[in-house]
Amino acid sequence: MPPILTASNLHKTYRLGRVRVPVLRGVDLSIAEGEFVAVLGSSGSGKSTLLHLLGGLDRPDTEPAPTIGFRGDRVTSMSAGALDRYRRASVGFVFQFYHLLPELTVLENVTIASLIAGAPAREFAAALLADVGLSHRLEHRPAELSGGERQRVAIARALVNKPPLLLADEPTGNLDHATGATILDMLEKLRRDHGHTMVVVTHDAETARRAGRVVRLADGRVEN
Amino acid sequence: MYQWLLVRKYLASKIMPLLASVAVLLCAAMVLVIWSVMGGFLDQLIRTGRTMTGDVTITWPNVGFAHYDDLIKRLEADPMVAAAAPMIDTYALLSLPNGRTEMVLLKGVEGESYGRVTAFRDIIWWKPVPEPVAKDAGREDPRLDPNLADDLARYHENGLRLSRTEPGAEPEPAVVMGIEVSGFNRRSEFGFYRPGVFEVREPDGTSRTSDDFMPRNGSVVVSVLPIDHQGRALEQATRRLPIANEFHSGVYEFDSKVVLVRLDVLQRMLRMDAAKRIAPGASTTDAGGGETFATGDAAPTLVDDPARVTSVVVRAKADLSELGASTPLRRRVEAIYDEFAADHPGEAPGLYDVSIMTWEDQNRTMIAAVQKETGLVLFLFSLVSLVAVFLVLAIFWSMIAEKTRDIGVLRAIGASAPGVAGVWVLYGAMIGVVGAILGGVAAWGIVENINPIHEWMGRAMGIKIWDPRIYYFTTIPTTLTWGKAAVVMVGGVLSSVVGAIVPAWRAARMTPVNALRFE
Repeated sequence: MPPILTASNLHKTYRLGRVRVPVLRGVDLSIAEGEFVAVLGSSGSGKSTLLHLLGGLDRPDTEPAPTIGFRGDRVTSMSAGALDRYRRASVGFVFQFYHLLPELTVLENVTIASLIAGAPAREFAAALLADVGLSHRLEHRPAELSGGERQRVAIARALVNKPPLLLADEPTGNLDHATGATILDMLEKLRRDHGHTMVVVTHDAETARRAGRVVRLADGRVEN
Repeated sequence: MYQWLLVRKYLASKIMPLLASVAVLLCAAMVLVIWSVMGGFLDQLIRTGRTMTGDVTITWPNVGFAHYDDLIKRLEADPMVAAAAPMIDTYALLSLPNGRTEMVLLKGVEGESYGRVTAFRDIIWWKPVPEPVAKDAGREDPRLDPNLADDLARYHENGLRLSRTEPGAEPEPAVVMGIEVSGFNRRSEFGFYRPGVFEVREPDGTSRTSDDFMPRNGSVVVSVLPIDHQGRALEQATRRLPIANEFHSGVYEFDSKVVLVRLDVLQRMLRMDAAKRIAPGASTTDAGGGETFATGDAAPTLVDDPARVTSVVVRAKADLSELGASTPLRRRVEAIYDEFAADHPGEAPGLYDVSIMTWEDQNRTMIAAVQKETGLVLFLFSLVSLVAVFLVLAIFWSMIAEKTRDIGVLRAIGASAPGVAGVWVLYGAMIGVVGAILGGVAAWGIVENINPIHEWMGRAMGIKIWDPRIYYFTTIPTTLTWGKAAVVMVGGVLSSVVGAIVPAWRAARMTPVNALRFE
């Protein structure tokens, strides 16, 4: 399969006051269309940072000449507006802490992503929520849901714009084992049904075991 | 648009923005009430400026000018002029039934012609009225009493004619006084008057309480000082005159100081009536101040001295209540007067000697002062209203700190930086709209009830802000227009938007990843 996402020479350094903290020290990566990749690494290894760079939430250090490519487009050269379009149309994010908007109902939390994309998809959002078993919770607020239910809403939100790439940052990290397993089952099923490419960042070996390929990250580099 | 969804949700779920709305409400209401009162004051000034003077007044004070009938005929023949009337203005001492003496402005007028030029017919107070004044829900106004209707109708007729007519008797010349002149009438909180009782001092030094009603059996003693052709004071003229009625113009200065009397009566008292008099210039004043005649012991020459008045008041056919509208009429009156003076050489002062003024000229100082004061007060209170801008700014700044992670989520799912800024600007605008609408409603409620509110404050707290002796009018005048309301409400919305712009810019500058990581 051709690669959907390529990354080369990714460096990322944060500043903590006067101290420079290198997190990524030259990551090269290629992910094929439809692939399920788990990025495994210990805490502080740069997994989340890598995911943020791949998803256009952050930009890599400009030296030495990084490249992120998505279906032939150079994400690293995109303007702010093009990067916004990339995030809204091509990428779906699932976060460890769900990051739902507390004032919105379950249905609105999913629909808002389609509103931002300029193509309101209320019915599709409701259908997705039915797929994740939340059709009875459409008008509830996030505060009224369990952790597992919130993560299912976040998954539906990530998929509502039918992005080809799904990026999940520790999607089960805040859930108990059984609920986490259910969420992973659901992600796998949706990936199969919709044909997404999925990159999951985790430090959980059980999650990594389900992936088609595991990329290990240590000290800001991909381990061979 | 996702911005609308978020703003709708935030408006329904957050308390702090409502505080910003309250700030906008208070500022909008404050500015609108002040503008309405100041605008009302100016409008009232403009309206009442013509109540007793017409549109243009020709004046030659003290001595007055003759042949005014000819002048009035010339004026009324002009297509711009609806009517003209003669008038004499002079100061007089007025002795009231309770022994009090007041200095008043005595105006000699003909009821009929004066009524055509001014609002005289409308401002006569004691007359039958079919409906109560606006706030008199209990119909307590004595003028509504059907038992008094016949008497009130007679008093009204007396007022219009400036005479008192007793059944079976000849009409007797009488005065119509401003309703506040005597001090006997008690103004109710609803705006009507009740005749009150007063103490009368008897010649023997005792006093008694009288409940006399002035138009029924009250009278006053009027004293004036005639002036001859050379401007010298002659012997004081005093006359007791019954009171025909009282008037209420709404201008405290008029209502407390002006007394109207029949023109012919005042002409006789001031020796301005038509009569044979010693020829002007036939006498001189000697070193001791006495009058001597150049002809020695011979009798002085008598000449026909025509009747004189000090003013002619003119009303236009068109409505000249707008500022600046009466200037063309003044120019026309000047032209007519110039021809009149040319036809009466030596008997009428020249065009540049008389004063020809529009109602606006006469009130120019006051109008300009109120206009400038309105602008100044509005400017100052608009500055005070900037508080709303900073309150919105502070509240939004705090809210954006609270919502940083949500902003990160929005950016992560594709919202652009301007789109996120738009959420907060729109939110600010909606807070402004809510505050401005409620502020407009609050201002309307206050303006509509400002006089009862003021009277209640006086009763309950002893606070009297509006003193008619200082502020000219007996009630607080207000003018609330849709135009003013729209300007203030748009200003309220804009101030809220301005307050939201800086926090919105801050929200837009957040990078998605930093916003998501915000602790």
